Amino acid sequence: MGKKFEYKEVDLLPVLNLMTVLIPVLLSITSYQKVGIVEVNLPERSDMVMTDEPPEPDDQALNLTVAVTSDYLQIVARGGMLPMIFYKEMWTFHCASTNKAVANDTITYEPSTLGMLADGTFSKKTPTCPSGKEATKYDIETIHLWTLNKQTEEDPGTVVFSLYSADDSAYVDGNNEFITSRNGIQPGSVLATLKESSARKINTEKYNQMKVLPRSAYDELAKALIGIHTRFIDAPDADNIIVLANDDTPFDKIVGVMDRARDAGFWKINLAKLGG
Amino acid sequence: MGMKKSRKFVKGYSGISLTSLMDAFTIILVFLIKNVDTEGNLMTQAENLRLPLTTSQKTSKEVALVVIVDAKQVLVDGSPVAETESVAKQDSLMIGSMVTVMEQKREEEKKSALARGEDPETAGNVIVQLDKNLQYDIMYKVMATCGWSGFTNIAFAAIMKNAEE
Repeated sequence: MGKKFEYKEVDLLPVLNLMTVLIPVLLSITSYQKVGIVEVNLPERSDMVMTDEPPEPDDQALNLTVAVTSDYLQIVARGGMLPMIFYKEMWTFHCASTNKAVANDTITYEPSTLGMLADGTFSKKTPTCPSGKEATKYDIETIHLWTLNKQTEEDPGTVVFSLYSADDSAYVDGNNEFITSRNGIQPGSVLATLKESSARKINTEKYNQMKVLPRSAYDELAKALIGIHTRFIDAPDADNIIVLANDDTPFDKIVGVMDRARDAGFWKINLAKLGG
Repeated sequence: MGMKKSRKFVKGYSGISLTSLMDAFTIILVFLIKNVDTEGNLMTQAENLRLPLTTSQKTSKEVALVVIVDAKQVLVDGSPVAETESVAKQDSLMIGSMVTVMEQKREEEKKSALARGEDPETAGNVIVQLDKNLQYDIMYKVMATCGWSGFTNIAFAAIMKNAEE
C-alpha cells in the first residue's frame, strides 16, 4: 500500500531488429505464384510397340474421347457422338508496357484476322500494342473460346452468353442449365456453379459482381463431361479419357480441356493426335 | 551515478515512438508467415517461357528430371539438346538428340536407385515445363521421347489457379 510504481517504457528496439531481419528473409522465400503439375497417362515402352492383334472390344466400356479442333470440341462415348460444341476463338495478347499512361495493357484479336503461319508469324496483320510494340505468338496471354450457337460447320453462328460470377464461374439453375441473364435473379436467390455442392444464396455483393459474358466452350465441355461421369459411373473405364488434338493446337488449350476432364472425375488422361 | 547520467541524456530529448512502426511490422510479418510455403518448392518456373494456368492442386512431391521447352530450345536438366524450330519441322516422333541424353539420364537414375536399395525398374519421373503457346505437335514429340527413354511418369508444369494456402 502506498508503494509508488515507476513507469518504464518497454525497450522495443531488439524486437524491431529481429523483425527487420525476419521480414527480408520471409520476403525472399515467399512464393506468390505456385507451380503445380498436370499429370498424363503414358503407355509403357513395351505397350508402344504395335502388335498384330487389336484388343478385344468391350461393350461395357465408355471409351470416352474429346476431340479438340480449331472450331469445335467433340465428345465421343460408346461409339456415339454428342453434338459438337462450336466456338469462336479470341486471343488476348499481353503487352507488358512500361508506359504508365497506357492503361490497357492487353489487346484482343480474332485469330482469322491475323492469319498466323506455322512458324508463328502473322500474314494478314501483326497484333500491335497501344505502345506501338508488336506482339508475337508467345505474347498470347489468354485464349478465349466463345460458344457459338450453330447447327452446321458452314453456319457462322451467334455467340451465346451466360451469367458469370466475379471469379469467372458460370452460374447454373436447379436443372443444371446455364443462366443466360440477370432476369429473375435477385439477392437471396439460390444459384450454383459447375462445381460440386456449390449451391449458395447470393448476397448483395455477389449479385452486384455478376456479369453477363460470352459463354466459354470449356464450361459447355465441363457440363457435358460431368453429366457423362455421373451417368456412367459404373463403367470399367469410368475414370479414363482420351484427348485428341490437331498438331497446331496450343498447349494452353490442351491444359484447359484436361482441367475440365479431371474436374469432372476423369483423372486418367491419355493424349493422342487427331487424324493419325 | 548511472541514474544521473541517464537523466542528463533524456533531458530535452523526445525519443521516436516505435509503437506504430512495430504495429506495421507485426502485420507484415503475420502476412508473410501465412504465405510462406512450408512444404518447400521443388520446382521453379524457367525463364523465357509462360506456363499455362491450371485448376490442378497437385504439386511435385519428388525430385524429378526437368525438361524445359521454350520458343527457342529444348533443355534437359538445364543443357540444350535440340532447337524447338527443328523439332516442329521433323516428321519423326522421336527427338534423336534428346533420346540419347534422356537414356543416359535414365541409366544414371537406375544406378542411383540401385545404390539406395530401391527397384531400378520403377518408371522414371519427368516434369516438362512447356511454353503455353507452343503447339501440341511439339508437346507430343517431347512426351513420346520421354516415354521411349523410360520416363513414363510425365507431368506438365503449370501455374496453379486460385492456389489455396
